[in-house]
Amino acid sequence: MRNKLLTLIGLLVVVSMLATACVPPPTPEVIEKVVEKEVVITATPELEEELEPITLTIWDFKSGEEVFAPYTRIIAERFMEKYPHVTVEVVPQPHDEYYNVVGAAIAAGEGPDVLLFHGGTRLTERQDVLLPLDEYIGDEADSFINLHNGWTNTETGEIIALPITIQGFVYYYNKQIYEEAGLDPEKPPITWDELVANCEQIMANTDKSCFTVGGKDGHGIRFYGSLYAASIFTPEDHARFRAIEMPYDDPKMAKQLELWYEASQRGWWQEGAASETTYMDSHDNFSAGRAAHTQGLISDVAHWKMFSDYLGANNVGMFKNVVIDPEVYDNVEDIPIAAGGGIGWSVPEWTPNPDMAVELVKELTSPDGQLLLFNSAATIIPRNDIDPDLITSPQAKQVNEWLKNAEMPIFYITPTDLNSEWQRQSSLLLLGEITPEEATQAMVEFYDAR
Amino acid sequence: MTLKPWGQKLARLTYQRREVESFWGPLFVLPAILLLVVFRFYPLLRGMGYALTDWDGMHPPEFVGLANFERLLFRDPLFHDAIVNLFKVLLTLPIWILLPLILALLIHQRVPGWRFFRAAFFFPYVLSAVIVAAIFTMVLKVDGALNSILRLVGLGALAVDWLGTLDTALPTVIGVALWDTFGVGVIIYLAALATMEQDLMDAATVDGANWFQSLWHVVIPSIRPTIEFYTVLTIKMMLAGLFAYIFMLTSGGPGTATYLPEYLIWENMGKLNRLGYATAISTLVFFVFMIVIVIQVRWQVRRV
Repeated sequence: MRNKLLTLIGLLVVVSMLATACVPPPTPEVIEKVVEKEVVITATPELEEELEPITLTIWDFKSGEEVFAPYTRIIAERFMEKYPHVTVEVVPQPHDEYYNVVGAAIAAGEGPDVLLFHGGTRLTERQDVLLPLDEYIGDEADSFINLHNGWTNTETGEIIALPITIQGFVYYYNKQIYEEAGLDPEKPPITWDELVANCEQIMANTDKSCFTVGGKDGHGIRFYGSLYAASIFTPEDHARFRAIEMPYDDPKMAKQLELWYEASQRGWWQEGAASETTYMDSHDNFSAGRAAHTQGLISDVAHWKMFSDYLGANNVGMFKNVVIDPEVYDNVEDIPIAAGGGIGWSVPEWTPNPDMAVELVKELTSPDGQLLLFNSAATIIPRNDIDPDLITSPQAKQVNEWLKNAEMPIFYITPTDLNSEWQRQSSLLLLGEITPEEATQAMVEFYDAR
Repeated sequence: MTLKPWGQKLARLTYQRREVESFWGPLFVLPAILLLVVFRFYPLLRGMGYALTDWDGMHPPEFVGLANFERLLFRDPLFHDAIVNLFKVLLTLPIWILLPLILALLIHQRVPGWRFFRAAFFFPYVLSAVIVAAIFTMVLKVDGALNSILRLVGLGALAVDWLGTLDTALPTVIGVALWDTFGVGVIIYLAALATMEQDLMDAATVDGANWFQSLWHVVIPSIRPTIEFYTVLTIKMMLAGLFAYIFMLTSGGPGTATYLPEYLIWENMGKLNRLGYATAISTLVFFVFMIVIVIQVRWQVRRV
């Protein structure tokens, strides 16, 4: 009797699992139908008086930051004044957990009306649930810089988000430490060999580390790797990488791991680098004057403004990159800056109010909105219709100049699972537990097993 | 003979009562069963169903049979590393069980300051695991408090990057989780010790038993059900309660040194959009835990 009961329960479990596996959850197609139906009754500004009140919810990972919060708050207030029937709710989400929260919304097929994304893979891996914006924004697309570099659907080419920053990587150095080490603070290194020589002098003459890095969160290798790649990739290499035609045992991919390993073996990183994060341990180390160099961002955080606030603008120097392989670039000025992507707003297809949600995105990315953000967070603005005289910071001007020759950082266009494996291998390289050859082999095996 | 009609009447009444109970009994239980089915079993089984699919959360799930399990068991080195790490964690089970037991015994025997220790041991459990891990991230840094103390007392050679070294990362995570949770074990054991017959302890003392003999021959047999209960709780904690510590302290690294199945579930679900695959890992972990529970319960029942 008992055995029969157990058999029956077992059968029920198996049948239920099979049945469940075959029952699809709410699909995007279903959501689309709902949206289409709702569009008919959705408001247009001309008919505002007769409109039913609606609420637009924004999710982002930045409004919790002091310098970012005024931007979303002020734009939301302006929008509600302009469209009295609309209530805008800004819901800041935790940065570390953001894509998990977004993933849960995607799985449920419902959530906010406007979402903030990083440009590149983190946007395009979710492109199938994002509303194409082309027909909503029309010619205004021309006002954005490099919109087709990280903000479009990789299959259809349609615009799926509008950016509010351009993000990228450069090296920052502490001029005071350079002076302390007996180096010329106005002469940053222009080749890898010069960087090696500078580091040796810094480590010999000061108690500071040559570099600071975060080995725990994986951004270390992602960011430094993007800088290395910008220096050793030709435009054709970048095109191959974008087309996912550059295997991990390609000499130029292996070279990045070799450089990372070399830096680790030379003792460039700060003590305890393996257990520290890029955000913000590593950048705090640099801000506190504990390291001569760091890789930093160009916009909104861990950048020229933040470092200048801590160290004094006169003590912070920056250089775009160093020449690593003279056969690729023998002049540092020719190396493209590793920049693209950034952060931007998109509209998920499940929103019942796509028209107004897109209007809100347009407001958030308008010149006024961008300048508001620039003034509080010192961002690099991804629009070409901003009066250049409004940008007074010499560093921001320099970055804007560099942006005329930019290549997308490889980190932004690497699939997330490969970035994770890249992270794991990099931490072992940092500790000297494996060789670059072993790390390359592991990457190849991981890629093949996907 | 005179009792016979009474006996028949009683038998008839008992029969009627049983009939009534067999009708109304299930009806009374039905709401509870319905709640369990609707809110527990159905979601559980439906969730498990996704383990047989390739699902990214955006497109309709595609039925792939046992492919996820095949990949997990034979082709996923990350999962294999996570399982090896899980076994390492399980090896520390005796410490998790015995440490609170010994401390509870000391408190039970009213050692000086026992009231303070009782509160102090339990206090970390009140804190969120995230807060505890955040505190220990600072304490365990290369230039953190622990290494400073080690250097101060002349043990500088032992000062290492506790969370950033392959050999120390997992034991450190386990240590932090143990520090955070052993207090609840102390409280559970104290409750059990309070119900233990003092006569037995007195008799053991009279017979000349020392502290360890009393522990082994009197205390442990007396509170064995509680120890077994706490063992199940601890195993559950090891299988599905360490995520916050890993997430905060090491992010699974260095390499895969602190990857556990639950961290892998999170990574596949949240970071990689592999909901079907994440569900397959969850399902495996669920069945492992079920097996442990079944063995535990059967062992307990047989012993009783």
